[in-house]
Amino acid sequence: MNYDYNPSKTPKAVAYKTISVDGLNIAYREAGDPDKPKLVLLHGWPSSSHQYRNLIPALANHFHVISPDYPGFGNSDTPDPASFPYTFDKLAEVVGRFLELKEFTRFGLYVQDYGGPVGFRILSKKPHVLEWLIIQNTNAYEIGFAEVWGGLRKALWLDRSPANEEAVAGFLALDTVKTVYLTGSPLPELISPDNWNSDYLVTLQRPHGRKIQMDLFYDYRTNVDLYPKWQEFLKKHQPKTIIFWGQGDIFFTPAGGEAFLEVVPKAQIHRLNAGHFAVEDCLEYISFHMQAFFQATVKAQNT
Amino acid sequence: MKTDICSGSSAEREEARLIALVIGGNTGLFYQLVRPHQSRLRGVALALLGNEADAEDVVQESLLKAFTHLKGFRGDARLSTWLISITLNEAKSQLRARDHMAFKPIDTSQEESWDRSDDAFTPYRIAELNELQTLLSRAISGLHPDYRNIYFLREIQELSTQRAAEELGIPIPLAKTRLHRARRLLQGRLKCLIYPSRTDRSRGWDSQRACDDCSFNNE
Repeated sequence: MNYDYNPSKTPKAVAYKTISVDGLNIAYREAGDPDKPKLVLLHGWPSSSHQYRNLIPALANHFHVISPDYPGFGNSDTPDPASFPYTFDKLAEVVGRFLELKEFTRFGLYVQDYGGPVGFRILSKKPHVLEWLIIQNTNAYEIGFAEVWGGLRKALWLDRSPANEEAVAGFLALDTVKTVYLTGSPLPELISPDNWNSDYLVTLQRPHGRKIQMDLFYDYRTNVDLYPKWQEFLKKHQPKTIIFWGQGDIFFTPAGGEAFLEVVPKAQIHRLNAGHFAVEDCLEYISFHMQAFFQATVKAQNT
Repeated sequence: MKTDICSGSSAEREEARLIALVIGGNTGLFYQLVRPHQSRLRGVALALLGNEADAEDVVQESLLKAFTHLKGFRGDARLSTWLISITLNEAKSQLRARDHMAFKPIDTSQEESWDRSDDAFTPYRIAELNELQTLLSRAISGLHPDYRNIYFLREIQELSTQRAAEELGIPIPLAKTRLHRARRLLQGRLKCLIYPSRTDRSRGWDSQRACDDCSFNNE
């Protein structure tokens, strides 16, 4: 058959794939030449690799980029929470295995929100995999918690009672997800409603959605116990680090971003007039400065 | 580049201040420094490459090169001139990478030397820039005087819109409209000059559009 047009894979095209990780289908986005330096993007709550849909092609000229959806998020499998522990330890284990299967043995790591607890666990076990680090609105200091964490820190984490669960269930409402995206953005019209609609319908509203999210909300307390360990990791290894911090993030305070400078004083910090998902409205800036930082700091050191 | 609201000298002082800050480690200001030039760089890249996506890539690559070589920018040329020369070279690299080569290959050893030291201006590069300048002059001279004059005053002499409008004795909004039109006409003309053979041998969308653009000049 003759076609007028036949699709081909351009260098910046994003491929949507799945791979079986210990029996779980893990969905991921991948772009760029496999011979280029590797870069892993770990997503935050309540999104998926969808939050990097524009950043991936913007970086694909220079990197082999990959971004998985955690179990229970985006397009990955959702095992029943009765038999599968939705904990950060488990998410990190699955993502760690995923990276091994994809033969990502040394890479740049971009961590945002939940990406931090997942990524820092992987790095703690295998420090040598890290080539450079991109930190964006993810917490490793208690000073980083904004007031909205009250229901978790002061109630749910102390007592996982039905009443305390109900008190934080508002986080799972569509309007809350929308607020997470728009809070802190000076130009909210740049942020697509597809974000909160997709997060809400695909992730939060799936079968067992509430249970899965509550399990992770409750387990988040284990991250706080690990903060000193992650700080120690950064202090010891002094990875080449660039920080992008949306100053108006509903979840994490500006001080939470500045705090990283205590342990990685040479990190380059970019304070953005943006919110939790700063890539939404600061895409060009973030992509440019990631590439510039890599060329000027990471690559320069490697050669 | 001067902006419409700033007088040349203060804009240049601001630019020099930003350059010093960026070189001093305040790298976050780089985007602010180059943002006023981006649309012009995009225009240059688009004129050579003929499609938005490639032009956008080239501008991004050029800005990265400018960022990593900013220390080599000594301020004896305008920042805009320096950025444009980087963009031209990046665009030509991109053209070389395509199957249809519109330019003869250039010495790739020159690719990384963006330092404004004297030895960066080898006879070869001067010839190369001359070649582009010739193409540009030909394209400009083909414009209707209404468009040619405003383009010359704004883009070559780098006058502010206000001063250019005064010079021509026309209102500022008209000067803006004509400049916009002049840029679009030039893009079309440059495409014709750069891809003359393509127009003959391909019936592609690009060549078709290039010829449409050319015909504007005969209005």
